Amino acid sequence: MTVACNKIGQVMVLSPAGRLDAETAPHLQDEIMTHVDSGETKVLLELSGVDYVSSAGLRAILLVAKKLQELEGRFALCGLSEPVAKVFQVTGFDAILDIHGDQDQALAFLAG
Amino acid sequence: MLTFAEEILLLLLDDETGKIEQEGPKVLDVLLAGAVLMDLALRDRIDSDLERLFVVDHTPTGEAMLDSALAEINRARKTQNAGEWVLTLSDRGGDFKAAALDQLVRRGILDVLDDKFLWVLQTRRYPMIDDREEQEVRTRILEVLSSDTIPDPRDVALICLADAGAVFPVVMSKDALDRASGRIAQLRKMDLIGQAMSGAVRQLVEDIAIAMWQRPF
Repeated sequence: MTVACNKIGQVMVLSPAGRLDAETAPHLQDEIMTHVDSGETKVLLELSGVDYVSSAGLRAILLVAKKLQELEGRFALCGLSEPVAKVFQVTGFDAILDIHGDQDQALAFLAG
Repeated sequence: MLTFAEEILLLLLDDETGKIEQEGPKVLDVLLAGAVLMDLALRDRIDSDLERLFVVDHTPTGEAMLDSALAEINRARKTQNAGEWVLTLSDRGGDFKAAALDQLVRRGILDVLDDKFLWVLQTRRYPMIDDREEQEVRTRILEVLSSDTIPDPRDVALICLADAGAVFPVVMSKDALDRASGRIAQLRKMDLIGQAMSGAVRQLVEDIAIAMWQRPF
């Protein structure tokens, strides 16, 4: 998995590409936490390049979201592909996380 | 740290009688199978998606109960989903229960007493010696249910188990349970193994109810 990082305004945008599973989730989690530990408090996970998410991937996202909530930061996701959106819907992750259709909507939410 | 099987057994143990109360032995078997799978998942030994459950790391955890289940999944030739694995491993529910109770006794949390009548073993009871672990587990669950914060994956798993094991009506008042019901419904969806285990328990309870209804008086 590759993870592209791009700072847009005050938001750190991370765009992973590939599968988000037990093998790759720790890498993504570490990457996000590195930014959070260095002071980033607004994080957007842009998932249009991810076509598969497993339970381990969901747990990594949950831990990141929880950490940012504890730090009173903000976390959002956008660009979910159809199979990934289905997993989020089945597990109810779409009800507890801020998920947006595209990056512009997500950035507007995080800026607000 | 306790395993999920140990935690759910502590929650299900009747503190007065030292016995584990469940609607049927098979329900407990399913709960314990789910607990073992959840532990393996949170220890990064297995992963799952909507279609299958699979081993990602066959390194033993050091917990014999978990490692025997991990070895069985690793040996399997046929791919199964989380629900199928819950049912497969539920056949070993008795072993999981014995291993988890032994571990709780070894940790000094439970005692073991054999009740005999006319020199014949009647029942085995597990009186609580140290209730700090049980209180900690209860407090953790109730804190998560009374807030709307993002939960920890470990708390999600425990709430799935407690819900499927019908623990909440015992540890919460009816009003508190009513208030928390939406939150419980939200959290029990969040773990795919938990979902599968809850579905299997629900089916078993329905089957038991139908069998009771059809039983001649």
